[in-house]
Amino acid sequence: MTDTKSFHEVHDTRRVYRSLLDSMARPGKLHDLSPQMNSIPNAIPLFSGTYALGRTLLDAQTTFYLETENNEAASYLELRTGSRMLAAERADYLFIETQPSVDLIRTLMQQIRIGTLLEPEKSATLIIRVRALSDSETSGITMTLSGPGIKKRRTLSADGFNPEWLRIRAARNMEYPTGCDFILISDNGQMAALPRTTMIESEAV
Amino acid sequence: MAMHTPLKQTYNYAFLDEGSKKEIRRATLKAVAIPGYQVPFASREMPIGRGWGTGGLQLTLSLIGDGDTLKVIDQGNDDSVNAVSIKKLVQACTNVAVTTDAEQATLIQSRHRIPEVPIRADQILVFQVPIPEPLRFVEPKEKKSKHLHAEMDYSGIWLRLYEDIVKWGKISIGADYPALAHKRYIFAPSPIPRYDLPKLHQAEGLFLFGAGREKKIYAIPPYTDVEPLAFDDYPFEVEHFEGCSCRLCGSTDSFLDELYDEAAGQTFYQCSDTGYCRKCRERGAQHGK
Ligand SMILES: [Zn+2]
Repeated sequence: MTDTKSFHEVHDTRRVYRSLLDSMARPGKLHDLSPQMNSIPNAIPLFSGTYALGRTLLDAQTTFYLETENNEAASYLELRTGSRMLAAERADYLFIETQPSVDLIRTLMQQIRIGTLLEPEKSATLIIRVRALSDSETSGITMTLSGPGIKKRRTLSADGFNPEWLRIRAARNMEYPTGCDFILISDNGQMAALPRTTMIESEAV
Repeated sequence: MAMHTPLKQTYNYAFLDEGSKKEIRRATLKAVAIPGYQVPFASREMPIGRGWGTGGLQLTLSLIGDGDTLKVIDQGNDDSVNAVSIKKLVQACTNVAVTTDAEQATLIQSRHRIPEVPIRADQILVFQVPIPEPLRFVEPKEKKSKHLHAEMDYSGIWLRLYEDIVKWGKISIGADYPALAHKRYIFAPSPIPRYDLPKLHQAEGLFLFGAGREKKIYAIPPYTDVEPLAFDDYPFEVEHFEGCSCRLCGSTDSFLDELYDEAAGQTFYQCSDTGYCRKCRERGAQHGK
């Protein structure tokens, strides 16, 4: 039941899930995953945020795509979760650990699944690593959020988050209910979600 | 790592295997991202009969763990056989505390009511849903109703409501009154009274709906528009209890059940939310009533 060090398959995945559920229900609200991420050994070839969310969401019923600089990472995640790495256009979950170029962001965002009117849930969830997240204006891009889960408006700032993600997200989420859902996770374990229903205003876009 | 109280070896923690929990969790996350849309899920066999809240129970088991306090109610009642057996099952396979006090609970599983005290941001309300499809009574085939939702073709249900008005002078639906979520999907709020439906609109709490037999999960996130279907000249109305009060606590502003006392040959009223009624009486006693 327990991994190397002490990430617990039952209890830690449940805690991560509860944070994730509240993040999805309250877009832009910050949740701290660092307690779970700190229980993961440093030696793994993955970002600990990828590992924590991967262990929570992935199994043999699901597929993922991983953007990483470590060539052992994908097979490690497959081994740990029973899930399979596939091309971006077929993946249920896309984990982006690097800072991709604008061209790569465009390519990935055009490839991802956005579901259909009949099955809007068959759509990609992107888990994007950023340098830092904050609920006040700091460095990086500042987003003003509105939509379900938000009382009037909420501010979210993301450092190390290319605004190109938001530009193409807006285009791909144009025909609700089809669309894609974002989960942002920072180096130090702050997490916030941007489901497809969230309207984002930003001077950076 | 914290040690957990030893549990019966025959159970997984929270009964379900981790694969089942993951599948329910993934479906729930998509449900929250698409308010009111029914996400299919596998739905496991549970040690209680289908129709006894297996959908709600599976949601509860996918959520529950250390730090949670669970309340289970059946039509507002903490002590019904159904509510008690669900609580016993959850307690047997987790180490969580249970409560009858809605304000103490982190998770509330309910059949057919929303507690009187509003659900807070740190609470989740899980509904047991018998029929998740609000279009069932105008389109019995799921394949077709799924297309109607996809195309947002809701003319059939609007026509039915209009015919109701022509025939009865009002919309005759009582419980399980259909509503529109986030201006997109018509959804079934489960057989809660109309009195409870406005509590879903722009609310602080998160509402999850589980239909075990029909294998569907859907959600109303906080601060989401929930609009009961109605016509401008026939607006939506909730049940009223003017001039009535609870015979136990005296409350005049809660949802009341009408009961009949055969011995006295009289009709009387009682809070449907038994936890709320109990607290009202305790408060009354403290104030020396
Ligand atoms: Zn009462």
